[in-house]
Amino acid sequence: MSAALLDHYQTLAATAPKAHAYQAVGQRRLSLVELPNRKQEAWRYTPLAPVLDYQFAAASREDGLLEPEDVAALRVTPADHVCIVLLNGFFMPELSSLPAQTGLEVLDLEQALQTSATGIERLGRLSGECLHLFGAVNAALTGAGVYLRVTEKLVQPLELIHINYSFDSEVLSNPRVLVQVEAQASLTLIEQHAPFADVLGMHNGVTEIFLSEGAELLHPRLQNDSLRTRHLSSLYVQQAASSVYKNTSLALGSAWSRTEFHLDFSGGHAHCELNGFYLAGEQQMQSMHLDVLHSVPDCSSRESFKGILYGQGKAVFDGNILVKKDAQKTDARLSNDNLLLSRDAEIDTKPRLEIYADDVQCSHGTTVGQIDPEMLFYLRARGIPKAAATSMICQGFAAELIAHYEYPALETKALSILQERLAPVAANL
Amino acid sequence: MDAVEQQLAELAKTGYEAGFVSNIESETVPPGLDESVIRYISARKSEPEFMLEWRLGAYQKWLQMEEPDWAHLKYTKIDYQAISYFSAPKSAADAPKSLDEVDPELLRVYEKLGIPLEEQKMLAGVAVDAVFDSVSVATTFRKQLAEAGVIFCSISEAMREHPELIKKYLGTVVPQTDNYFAALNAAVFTDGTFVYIPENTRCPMELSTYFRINERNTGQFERTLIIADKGSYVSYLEGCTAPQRDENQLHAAVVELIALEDAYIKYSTVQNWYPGDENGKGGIYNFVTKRGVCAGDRSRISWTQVETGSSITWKYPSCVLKGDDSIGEFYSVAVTRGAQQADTGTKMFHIGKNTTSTIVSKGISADRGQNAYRGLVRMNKGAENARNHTQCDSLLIGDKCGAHTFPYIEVANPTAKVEHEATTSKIGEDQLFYCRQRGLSEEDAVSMIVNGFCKEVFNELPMEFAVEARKLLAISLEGAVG
Repeated sequence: MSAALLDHYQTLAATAPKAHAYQAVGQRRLSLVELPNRKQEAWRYTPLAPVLDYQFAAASREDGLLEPEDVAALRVTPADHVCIVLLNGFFMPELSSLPAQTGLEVLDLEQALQTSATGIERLGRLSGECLHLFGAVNAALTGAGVYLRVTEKLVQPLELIHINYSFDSEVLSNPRVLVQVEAQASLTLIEQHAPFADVLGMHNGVTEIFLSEGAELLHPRLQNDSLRTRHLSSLYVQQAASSVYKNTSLALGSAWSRTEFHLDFSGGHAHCELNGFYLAGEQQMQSMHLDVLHSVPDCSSRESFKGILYGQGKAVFDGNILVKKDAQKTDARLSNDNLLLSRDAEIDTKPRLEIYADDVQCSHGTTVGQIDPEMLFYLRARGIPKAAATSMICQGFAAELIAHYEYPALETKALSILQERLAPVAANL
Repeated sequence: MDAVEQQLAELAKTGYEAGFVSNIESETVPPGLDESVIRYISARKSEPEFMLEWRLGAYQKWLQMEEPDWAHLKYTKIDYQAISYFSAPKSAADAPKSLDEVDPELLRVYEKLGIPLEEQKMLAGVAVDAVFDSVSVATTFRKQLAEAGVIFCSISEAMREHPELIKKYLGTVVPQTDNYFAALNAAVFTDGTFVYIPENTRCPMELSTYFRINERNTGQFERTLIIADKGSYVSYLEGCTAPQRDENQLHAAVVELIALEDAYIKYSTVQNWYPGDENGKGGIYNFVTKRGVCAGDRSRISWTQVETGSSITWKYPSCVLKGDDSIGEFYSVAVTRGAQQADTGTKMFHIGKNTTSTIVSKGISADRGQNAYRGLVRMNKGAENARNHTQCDSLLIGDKCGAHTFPYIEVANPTAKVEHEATTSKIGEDQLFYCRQRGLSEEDAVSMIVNGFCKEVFNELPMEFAVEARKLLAISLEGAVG
């Protein structure tokens, strides 16, 4: 089976239209790569059948058909803001709203490659040799996606909506989002993975973010794919001196999801904040992987992740902070808290620290538990029914992280999805 | 007179038990490992037939296994065919004739630890037959233990005298094919300790290998089996604070603990094998598999370790908490300096209801030392109301060392509660300044801060051991700061 699957992806890679030299890296990797398996540390605990049992077809620009009204219903930003829609990974100008804005350049990735847009040569610099099969597939099929370049401090947030919806359901979308925030510029990039139809497809996205000196990027993400979709997002971020990156990622939807954060600092006094929340219920599998590399001195990072599990939900948290020899004065804190609501849920977590410098402050903390009966008692003593109290406690647990969105419309949306998913669970506890 | 005769008889007997009576010089098997070596070892130790089969089974499995490479360790590959798997004690000709021939550095450490001269000779491997004081102490202890019904003997002896216990328990906690090093140990182990505490017995004294004189030079592939029957208690001490002379580079020991209902086993280790020169050359490779099963309800197993020696430490004393309300504990101080590397930690498997485990791990790295904590806490589906608290702290001294934490947490029961915290920091300059300002020398100040850092673990050690461990730590870190 494994040979057939590799063959399948190799054929896809060989027949893909040539858009960029980086595709060769992906192709080469595909001929060497081993299928992900649980013996590999990076995939330990991750059930792989949901993604390896299918031979997904590559999505094309012609798949799916949407009307601008369909998109309007999904948006959280006002209509006059920039909103980019990627359908099955492909940039759809007719669905997007693209008012001209100074300091912002939005290009279809394919077009950016053809016209050699400024900074596009950085494509593939961070994802490099591709970590695994799906990274290689994405690289080999490079073409779909969007290129963003910011040269000023932008006040208006920019929205990016991914929709997976095709006539043939089992397709693989392979977007690559390349973000370049120039020195002293700033941007808020709201990213949504929205469900449109209940399709069994796979999202295999790679995002590369370059922050120049003093640049700032606020990056709230909401993954709410349909419950049959498979979702893999690999984020690569490189931060130059004094830059700030703040990511808040929610994983609520999809049958199987994996979010990878690869973060590296190239200059001092940069700060990064990664916040994450996952909801794993029914038969969902949610996983979060952090790979934070402190290779230069004087940088700080905060990683804070929480999860709620119910039904037969399963979650994997795998966080690694590596502090290299010269990265003195590093300050890194990692925490992971989990709430288990059901008998059949399972959480596997491994928060790791690897430290080769001595003048550092590093810590990690992990907790796993159920709802504190005392909290429940407190609320019930005040006349709140059990189901409502349970739901309230869960909301409170999640709300702390969701507040990091710093964008009320998105917060409201996330909380209402959470409420909708948790209400029936709380009622049956 | 009777007492003396009895002592002599005992002495003669122990000499025989260890498996060498005469012809000491010719008792080394040439290097290499195959079935014939295992047959030879088994025959030499007059083992029952089932043991030979057990060993051969382990060997066959070992051949198919691969040496694990997941640990955070770097070392030159071990050539298993270059090791001699059965060697009697080094002949008198090889050993130093007197303390004058012993490495002065070693003597200086003995001095600092306050070890009596006779004991120094024994530890340094000076060719004396035996230290009489120790022998008499050992035999007196044996008598007292026998009265209580406690069996405390070498594992070879146990195989001959108590085969039913060996058959019932050996390999039940660490199966012969558990891992690469455990399989190797199962195939070739030469000796070790066997302890059986009968029902409702509190072992009258702390048991220590230190008093078992028939154990010398069998440390390479040691196997320890401790069984605490219902309602019993035993505290077992392994190793000693003084650096011991040892000829073998590879150590692959296995320790199995079994605690039945209401039993409590407390296992303390101080490991201070030779760490090698400043580049780690010649140091001991310590690959140990230690595991205990809390088989009965309300049983308890507590591991305490102070690891300061060896160039490579690969060691994860674990607890399988099968019985309801059982308790597992792991307290560890690991020090790495020079080129030492340690990858150590624990595994706690919660199977029974209301099981509790506590993990406190303190890692100290200095110079170029690399110290990793690797731990697993597994809450099975049936582990109702299980609790775990883990704390691992690392202290870094110097900018070339490393401290790493690799905790694995798996929870499959919603009523289980797991907490894990880890911190890494260095000795604060403000802390040092504060102490120095009050007239403490820098060395004393560091020793005080480090001892404070390790206090929670030292508190778990038996008293005499704790005092020695404190001194040992101070010596281990001598000159690391400044």
